[in-house]
Amino acid sequence: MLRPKTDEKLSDEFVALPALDWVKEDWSIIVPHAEGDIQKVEIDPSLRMADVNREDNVWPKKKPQETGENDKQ
Amino acid sequence: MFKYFSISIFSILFIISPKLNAQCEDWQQAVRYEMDVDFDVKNHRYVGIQNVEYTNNSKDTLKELYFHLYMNAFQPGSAMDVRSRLISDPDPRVTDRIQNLAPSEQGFQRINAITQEEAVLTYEVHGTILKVMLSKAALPGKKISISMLYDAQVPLQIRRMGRMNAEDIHYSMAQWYPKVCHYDDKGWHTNPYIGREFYGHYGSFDVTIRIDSNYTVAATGYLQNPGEIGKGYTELVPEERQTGEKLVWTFYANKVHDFVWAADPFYKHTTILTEDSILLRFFYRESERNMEEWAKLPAIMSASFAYIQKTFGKYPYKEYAFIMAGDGGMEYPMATLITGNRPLPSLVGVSVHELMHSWYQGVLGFNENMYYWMDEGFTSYASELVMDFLRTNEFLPSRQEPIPLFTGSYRGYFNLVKAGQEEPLSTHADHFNFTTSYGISAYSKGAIYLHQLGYIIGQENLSKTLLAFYTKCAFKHPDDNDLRRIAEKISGIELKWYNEYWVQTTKTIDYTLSGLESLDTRSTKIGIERTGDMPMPLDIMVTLNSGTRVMYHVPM
Repeated sequence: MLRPKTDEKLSDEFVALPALDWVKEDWSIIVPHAEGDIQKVEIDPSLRMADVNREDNVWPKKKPQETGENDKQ
Repeated sequence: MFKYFSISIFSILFIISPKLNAQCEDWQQAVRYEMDVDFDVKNHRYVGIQNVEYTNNSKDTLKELYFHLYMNAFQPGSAMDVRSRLISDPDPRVTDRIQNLAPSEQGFQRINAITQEEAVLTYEVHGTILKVMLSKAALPGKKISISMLYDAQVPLQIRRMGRMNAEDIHYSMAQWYPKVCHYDDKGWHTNPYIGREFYGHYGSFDVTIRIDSNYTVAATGYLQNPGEIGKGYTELVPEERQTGEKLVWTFYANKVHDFVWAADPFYKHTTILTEDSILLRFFYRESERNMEEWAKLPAIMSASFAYIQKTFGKYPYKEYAFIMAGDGGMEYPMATLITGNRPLPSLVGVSVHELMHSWYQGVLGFNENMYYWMDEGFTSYASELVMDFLRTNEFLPSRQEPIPLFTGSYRGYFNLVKAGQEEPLSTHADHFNFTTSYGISAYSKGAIYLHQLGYIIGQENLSKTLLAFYTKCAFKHPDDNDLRRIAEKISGIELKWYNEYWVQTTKTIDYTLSGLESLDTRSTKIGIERTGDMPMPLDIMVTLNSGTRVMYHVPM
């Protein structure tokens, strides 16, 4: 806790944000990009975090016919 | 772009105390075994003389010693038998087979006498546990020596050890001698054997085996008299074979916590020397079904060894034996028992997995009863990387459809969560309600522990952590706290919360991208919800229309 990891070189740019208070259930980050410039947002594209429902980890949401199994990976 | 560093008391502690040598410094007992067993292959029995020198490095005075008598588990009514018949999803290799063993098919270890410096000792046998009352207590820092005479019957192969396994190997001799129970800062570990895990002291084994001369013996350790034996242990045919119907095999191993052997009259014995000068031995019963696979195995395992040593640390012994025996794959110091009639990918897979246990169990010596998930999980993690190395370098055919590493581990874990049968990793291995949940917890959730730790601290820090953990804690029986502290010191990231959630609870991770909101022409708010009970730091990748990918990392 309290310290960010260093850049794993999984992207073109790496930005470490302030630490998050774990008790929060709803929160947000503000990124310096116009919404129209954003093609995709994804939580943990490396698929290492064991999120039990990855369906809602991607924006824009997949259309129903693109939706695969609920399982990660 | 900016970086945020929170300066806290915890962070300062990391900065001023970066040393890694505070881990794995506890005391441990030491044991030296001298064994001489005379084997009767007609009746599947043997008589054993065992001398044990026990060094009590604890601060406690020990008035008793405890031993495992594992073979007593293979008797109707044993704890292993009852457990297997009562649990709803028993190991299919066991089920009710113990209950149905005839007397001549059962296993036993029968103590005939125990002495301590000429004094005859009293003892009690409780199933698979032997309690010995010492005539002179083992004082702190002092050694004691006891001798025992016993006889034993090798059961039909049920689980791991026994005679005549499914591939007709005559003797799979695991869990075969009275083994000193582990004593540490938690006290004695005298769990009745129900077929699951092990925990033993490091020590030396001087083992003499007398068995019919037509048998080839494969074992932990180094054969001390290859010139008298031949059988692939020396290139030369021995000039003077021992007369009589039995050969006397003498093995020695040091800094190991167990000793396994197997014997079969039809073993083929081949060897290969790795580039790091480790001698790999292969013992198998050759047939048309497996000869091609076993012929290819040595070169593949030699290549594996080089990759493994570079990635996970140096193997501390000079030999390792792949032995066709047992009932699947089971790790032992300097050797493994594996079933051998398999397609090549399966044969390599089981060989790699059991070999990796030499790192994550053989050298680190976890208490498998509590840290089975470090034993199996870390081994599974490493095995996946080794298999990927072998496929990438064309030692094995590539998968027809590439799938991400650890897909199977995550799938197993998610299925367990969905089934509602998950129990915390901190559950004792023997006490899971379901065999399936124990298995998935050990292999899958344990592997994910490391893969996910790489997500939290970064893959490079994980690799450094594993190497440091292996180096600092070799032969010291570490636990998850030792690994965590090393990871913290290398990464500078506090991780206690990770073990508290992932190991001690069944809370799950579930995050949701709730939506995007344009704030102005230059900024956007990304909403996130935590719907799972386990919090995590987040990597949030924003891909722009230009193709640029920006990773926003939110630590905890």
